[in-house]
Parts: sequence; C-alpha cells; structure tokens
Amino acid sequence: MSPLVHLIYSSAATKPLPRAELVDLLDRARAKNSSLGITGMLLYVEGSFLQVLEGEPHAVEELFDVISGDPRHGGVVTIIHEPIAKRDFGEWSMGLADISADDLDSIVGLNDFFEMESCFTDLDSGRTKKLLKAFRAGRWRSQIAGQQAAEVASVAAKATSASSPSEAPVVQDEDERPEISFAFQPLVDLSNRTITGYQAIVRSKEGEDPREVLSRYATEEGRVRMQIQSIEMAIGMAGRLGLTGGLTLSYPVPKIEEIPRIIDSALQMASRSSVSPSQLTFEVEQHDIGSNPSWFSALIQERRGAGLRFSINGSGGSRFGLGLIDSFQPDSIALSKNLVRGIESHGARQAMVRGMIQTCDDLGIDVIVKHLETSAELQWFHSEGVELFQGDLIAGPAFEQLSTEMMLPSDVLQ
Amino acid sequence: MTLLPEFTFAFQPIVDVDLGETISQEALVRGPNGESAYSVLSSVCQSELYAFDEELRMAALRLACELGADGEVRVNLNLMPRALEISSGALASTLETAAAIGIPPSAITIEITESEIIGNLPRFVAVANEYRSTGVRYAIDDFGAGYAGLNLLAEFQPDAIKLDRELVRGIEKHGPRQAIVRGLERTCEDLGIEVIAEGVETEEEFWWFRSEGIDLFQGYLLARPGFQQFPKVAFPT
Ligand SMILES: Cc1cc2nc3c(=O)[nH]c(=O)nc-3n(C[C@H](O)[C@H](O)[C@H](O)COP(=O)(O)O)c2cc1C
Repeated sequence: MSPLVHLIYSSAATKPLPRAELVDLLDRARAKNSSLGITGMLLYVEGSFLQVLEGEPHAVEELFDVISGDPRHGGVVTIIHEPIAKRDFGEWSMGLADISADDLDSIVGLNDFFEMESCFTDLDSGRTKKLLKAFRAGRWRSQIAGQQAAEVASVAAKATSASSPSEAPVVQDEDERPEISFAFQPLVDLSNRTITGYQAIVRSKEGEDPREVLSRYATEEGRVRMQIQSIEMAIGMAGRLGLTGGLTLSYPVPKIEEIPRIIDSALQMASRSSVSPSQLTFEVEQHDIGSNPSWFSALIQERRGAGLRFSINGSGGSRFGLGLIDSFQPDSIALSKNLVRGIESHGARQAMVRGMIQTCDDLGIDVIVKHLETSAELQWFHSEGVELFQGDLIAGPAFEQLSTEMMLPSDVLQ
Repeated sequence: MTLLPEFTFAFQPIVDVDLGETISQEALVRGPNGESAYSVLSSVCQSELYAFDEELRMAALRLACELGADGEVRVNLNLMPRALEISSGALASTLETAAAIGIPPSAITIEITESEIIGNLPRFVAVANEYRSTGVRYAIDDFGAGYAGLNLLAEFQPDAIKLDRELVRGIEKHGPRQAIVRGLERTCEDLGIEVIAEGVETEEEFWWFRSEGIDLFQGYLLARPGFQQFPKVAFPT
C-alpha cells in the first residue's frame, strides 16, 4: 500500500460565494480529486473554509499548491500535515446543507448537517474528528485582514469512513520469555464514562514490583531485548484477554535510538495477534525526546503511517519545549505529575494547564491526566474540559486482567 | 581590567500599537561603527564577561538618558545568561546608575532568556524577587523556543514575555505555531503577563497578531534598531 497523508487547512473566502459558484467549485473539485485519488471534505461556514485533503503525499501537496493560489480565498493556514494509516473519507462526495436563517448565526447549523448526514459520527476518533470539533466550536476561522465574515452558508462532504477489518487472533507461544507479567490500568473517558483503553504496566510473575527481575538485565542490549519481548508479551496478553479498546505501551527507553526497533517489533507482534496497530499507543517520556526532538519527529512521522498513535508523557514538566509541538503533533499528551498534584489550589499551574489545553484543542491533541490522587484534582481538570483520566483514584491497575470497574467520585458525576 | 572592546548602543522601540506609542527602548550593544553585539562580546574574555555585562547596562542607561529617556519611556536592558546566579549584585550597579541620572527602577525592564532561568531556577527566582521590591520589571526574551517553555511560568511570572522569532516567523500560515501562541496568550492572560511579538518583519505577521488581540510589538516592520538614537516608528495601517 502506498503511503498516505492528510493535510488540513483553513482559509477565508475573499468575497461572499453565491451558492451556484460553490456548487460549481465542488463539482469541478470532485471530478479532479477522484482522478488524483484524493478524498476528503470541504466545509464552508460564515465565510470560512476548512478542508481535509487525503491521498498520496505528492498528489496532496501539488493540489494544495494549486488551491493555495486560488484567488477565491486567502489567509490559508496549514493546520496539520502528517502521514495517516487510512483515509477518514472513503470518497469525495459533497452535499449542500440547507440551513434555516435562524441557524446561520450559530454553528448549530453545521451540527445539524452533520447529524443529518451522520458522517461526523462515523468518523473514528482520530485527529480529523477533533479538528472538525474545534472548527465547529468556532476555532480556525481564517480571516483575511480587515475583511468581514462573508455570506453564510454551509457545504460539507459526505464521508464514508472505512471500518477497519479485524484480523484473526493468532498468539505466539512464549518460551524463553522474561519472568514478567502485566497489570492493566484503565484509561477512563469521562465524557461517556467508558473505559477507552488500558495501559500495560510491567509486574513480576507474582504481580509484584518488577524491579528485581528487571535488574537482572545488566547490558544495554539485554535491556532493549527485554523491552522488545515485554512489549510483545503485553500485546499478546491484552489480545488474549479480549482487548477491544486501546493499549498504551510505555517503557523507559534505554536509548532514544532504540525506539524504532522497539516500535517495529510491537507492530510485528500486533500483526500476529488480534490487536491491530491502530489500537496501540506508544508513550514516550518528554525528557527522552528533549535531547533530540527533530530526529524523534522524523521517526514518528514515518511510523504514523502504520496507524500507531503517539503520546508524550510528562508534558509540562521540566524541559517541556513548545518547539516540539511546533515540529510534530502527538495524538495525546499526558500531563506531568507535578502539574497535576494539588492543581485546584495552584493558580500559576492552572494558568499553564489552560494554555496547554487550548493549544492541544486547536491541534486535535488529546490531553490525558494521570496520577490522580484526589477528587479535587479530578474535578478541576474535568471542569476545564479534560475528559481522559487515569489513576488509582478512579480505576487502579488489575493484574493480568482488563478490569471494567470504575469508581467515579459522586461530585464529578453531577 | 584588561583592555575591553569599545562599544556603544543601538535602540529598538517596543511599541503599543493600540495606543500608537513607543513604550520602551531596548538597548542593543554594538561596536563603535555599528558592529554586531556578537563581535563585541566575543572579544571579552570569560573571566571578565560578567563585569563587562554590568558595565554595558550602566553605559546603556547613560546613553539612553542623553537621548532623552526620562522615566516616561522605559528602557529594556539585557542580562547575560547566568548573571544573577554568578553575582546576586549584578543589578545593583544598574539601579545605582539609574538613580544617579534620574531614571526610576520602575522604568527599567530587565530582559532575560529562558536559559538564564532554567539553569538554577530557585536561585534565580529568589534574587529576581529581591530586586522586584525596587519596582524593576522583568521580561523573558525568546520565549517559547527553548526547553523551558510554559512550565517556567508556573514558577516565575515575569511582567512580559517576548515571543521567540521562530514562533513569529510566517505565523499567518502556520497552524501549529498559531495554536502554541494562542495557548501562551491564554496562560499569560490568566497570569497578568504581557505578550510582546518580537522580530515582526512582515505585514502578514503583524496583522495575525493584531487579530489575536496583541498590542505590543517590536521588529523591523515597525522600526529597525537606531544606531545611537531612538528611531522613528512606522505604524502599519
Ligand atoms: C476553498 C477551496 C477549495 C478547493 N478545493 C479543491 C479541491 O479539493 N480539488 C480541486 O481540484 N480544486 C479545488 N479548488 C479549486 C482549485 O483552486 C482550482 O481552481 C482547481 O483545482 C483548478 O482546476 P483545473 O486544474 O481544472 O483548472 C478549491 C478552491 C477553493 C477556493
């Protein structure tokens, strides 16, 4: 399969676009896109465009060059340009939404349209959906300096999202494996109070602290091999336990240069088990990247195409560089422990977290809060719109089990 | 002291475009014929660098005073990385000079870079706060590019941050940078920190920041550094 990318941009119409012209633009776009193998969607709300283009890297770039130069719009802002594992939009077919005058002032119209066409709900929870959400909330409304919002209309594409086929489970046998096992800690989505995935945590065979076992690996090569095996074991075990949601794999990396090897073996293992690559999130420590952000970005972009997701742990801790997010956008970030602790009474940290949430929202990056210890912390983050939580407070790790138990503090549930 | 290089200053205004006024002049060290700051500083030996750094601030204040700085227009002075860590008295001579020529500490902004601060954060915060009682203000230069980033603001709240040029460059078409700047603005707004767009060179950059509600600017578009003078500002319309 050839590599795929998506490019999402926003822009502003130079002058109000009458419906007939929009229809004409769409007709031509549709014909040309299908010949170029490009899919995606185009939204037009209150003079602002948001377009998703998907396809082969060259085709997308060339078309984007052409579109960028189109005098019918300006203020083009590239929001995201990155490899993807699969298309969000199976075809490029667009419809015009008829929106009543009352709805025009609000973005509710867009919402209605999405519901009508049910394409929004069909999108999987990837970046595209998050950005559309941000757009719906009024972000990324490009403007051309000094120009008023143009005529209001809404045009959107109908999406047929390809559902990922599930592979038959085949689990490898496990001789000569390290003497370790795993506990799985739920990742809770408070927006619908479900467990969306689990983080695999290394334990000894008896379910204890694995430090003693791990300390047996004296050489660096030994540690890397052990990590590769333990990741394979975690995937295998989660598959056998019937994992349907996500699986977060996090390991202290002996050397950042070893990450590709570790990731590639995880992908291979996934292909041999019932877990698909798109279920995997590879979590990397912020401070491991700090020393070599551009190398890391390149590496990640390369492997994104397989569907693997990336999370940065410890964001907002010391050495959290905004420069990293400038060069590549992870799928999620987990806030550093010392930001979370006692947040409800620390104004400066609150301000900092609000800024981070704002940035992440705009870029379709999920914010995850881990290490929760008190319901006051949970409540504060929840009130700021954070939805993903992990912590003993709400769901502790369960040894060799995918536990479905949650304890949500009653004050949060209101 | 061994022979120190000759030096003088150029000044570059920081402008509030909403008020249509220059609010401060940043002193930038130059050689006697306008040579770069680097060429001046690189000829000073390591052991004398910090004494030289103090010398520069005093001289900058005197020149600013000659050019008409009277406490109405602020003066921004740079502090070399680690200066406060190495000598907690690094600002004393600056404030004494200011007092002698009639510039109040409240009209002085000390610019520091992220790297100055993360070297030894607790010590920096302690020393910086000590001088705060005089009314002197702090701005963090090149903010957003280095490693420190946001979390620095949880420990130390300057009066202003100057956005790093890397973030400013071409921002009008660069989504991730826009998202980062919006996040920074949010944090700074919540903490009462001013945001200055520095190194603004094009109309497009300028108008993007204006549409985000930024009032404070510094950059070639408005005024290039003026050699031994306070240059005239071109306000974009
Ligand atoms: C907001 C906007 C989105 C556009 N999207 C597409 C598109 O997806 N595909 C396309 O071929 N043209 C698109 N166009 C039109 C192109 O800019 C350009 O006019 C067209 O590709 C030229 O087609 P031609 O090569 O047949 O002359 C878009 C224009 C605008 C203003």
